[in-house]
Amino acid sequence: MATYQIIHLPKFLNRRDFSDLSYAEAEKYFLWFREQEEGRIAYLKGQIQLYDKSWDMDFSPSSLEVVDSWFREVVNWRLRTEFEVNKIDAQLREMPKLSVGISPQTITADEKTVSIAFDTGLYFAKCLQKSCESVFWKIVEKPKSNLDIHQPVLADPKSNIELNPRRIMEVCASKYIKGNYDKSIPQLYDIWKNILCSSQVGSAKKVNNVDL
Amino acid sequence: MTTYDMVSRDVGINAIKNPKEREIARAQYRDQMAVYAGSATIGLVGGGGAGMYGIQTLAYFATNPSAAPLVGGAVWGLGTDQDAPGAGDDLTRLGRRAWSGSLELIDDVFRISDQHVDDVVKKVLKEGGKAKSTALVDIARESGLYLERGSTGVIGENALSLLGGSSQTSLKTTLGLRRVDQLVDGIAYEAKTGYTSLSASIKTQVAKDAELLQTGQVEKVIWRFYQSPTTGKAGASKPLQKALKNAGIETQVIKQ
Repeated sequence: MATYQIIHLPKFLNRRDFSDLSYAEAEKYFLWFREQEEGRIAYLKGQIQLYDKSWDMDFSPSSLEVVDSWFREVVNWRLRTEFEVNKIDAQLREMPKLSVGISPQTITADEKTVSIAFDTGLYFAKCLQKSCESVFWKIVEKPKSNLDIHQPVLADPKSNIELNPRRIMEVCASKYIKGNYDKSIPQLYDIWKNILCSSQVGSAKKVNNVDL
Repeated sequence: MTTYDMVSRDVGINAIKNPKEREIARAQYRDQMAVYAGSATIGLVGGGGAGMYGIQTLAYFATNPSAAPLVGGAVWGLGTDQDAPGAGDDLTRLGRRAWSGSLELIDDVFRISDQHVDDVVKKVLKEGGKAKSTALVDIARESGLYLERGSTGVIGENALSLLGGSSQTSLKTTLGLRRVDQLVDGIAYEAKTGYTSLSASIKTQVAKDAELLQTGQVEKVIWRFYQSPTTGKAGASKPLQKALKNAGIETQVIKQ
């Protein structure tokens, strides 16, 4: 893939952590995020159809098969900047004893991949919304320690878990970059559908059926 | 310009003006590569001497998307270089062997395609883990061999960047919030001090971590067992070890 339209954030957010935003700023970001949806998904469609002309963007679970194959092909990495490495080092220094032997990776997903994960996350969320009508977008307000604080997430009124599709896709991209394909996007869809759809209350237990 | 030329330039050979001396230098470099490749130990960063050129070789083809056939540990031009013999396709094997520290390229011939380069990078990252991939990248950076991928390490103004981690962060699960001691590069670290058994609360923690893995919220979960300063003990009980293994959680024992 030669080019991919990089997403540019609203200026007020530039290089700031979501946890540092005020709620008003989080709301502003939320509006911006929701405004991106239509255009970014349309752009994603064009990109995936360059890969597979026959791909039908119908937000069905089966449409995620092609999304997954494409995603595997296009994710890529770059070297981390010194600023980024220093930032993680600073984080590790907050808990020096517990961070013994942990060091930041020197590579990370490249710019294109981050935008691809963002767009794929939007499509992934749209597929879930199609299956579970009760799920809706909201801003995470608390607790402050929540990794998704001040970010848009998909939630269900009857479920206590929320989905940040962008983060899930970033983790997926990072694993794919390393050649770890243990969970595909369609598999993630099934798992999240089980958890989020209130019509299937109780099915979330399936996630925890680890033999302890 | 062939890949051989590029590598030659990178090691300074092309700076030699006298053609005869340049040829000798090339030949010496080729021999050196072959010898060092044979004793390469990936993971030794910046050690120089034995192993260094082997690492450079691997770093080169692991990071150069248009890399060329490798012979005897040296990188050769693609097709156009008369010295380059025909090549086979077994970069994955090469990567594996290089990784295990037994890079023996002397009798092997490899042709590298973009896909193979990707495969090797992925394999190296997957099998070698963080420290070793760091070594690769560092070596590649030091030797200036990055050509395309990772060439800048610069991110654009206002460009969307990857969501980061933090210490003492929490993630939502169906069983409630899971507080993570450190979240770095998608890996959730849980620290335990002393000998740890599978109590009810630990069971819940394991179940929450299993869910984080299942739902793709984290790449890995690693439980680190630190030696107790009072008892001197560290580690997990057998049932806990089994539970962690079943949940796909990795463990490390840290003795300080």
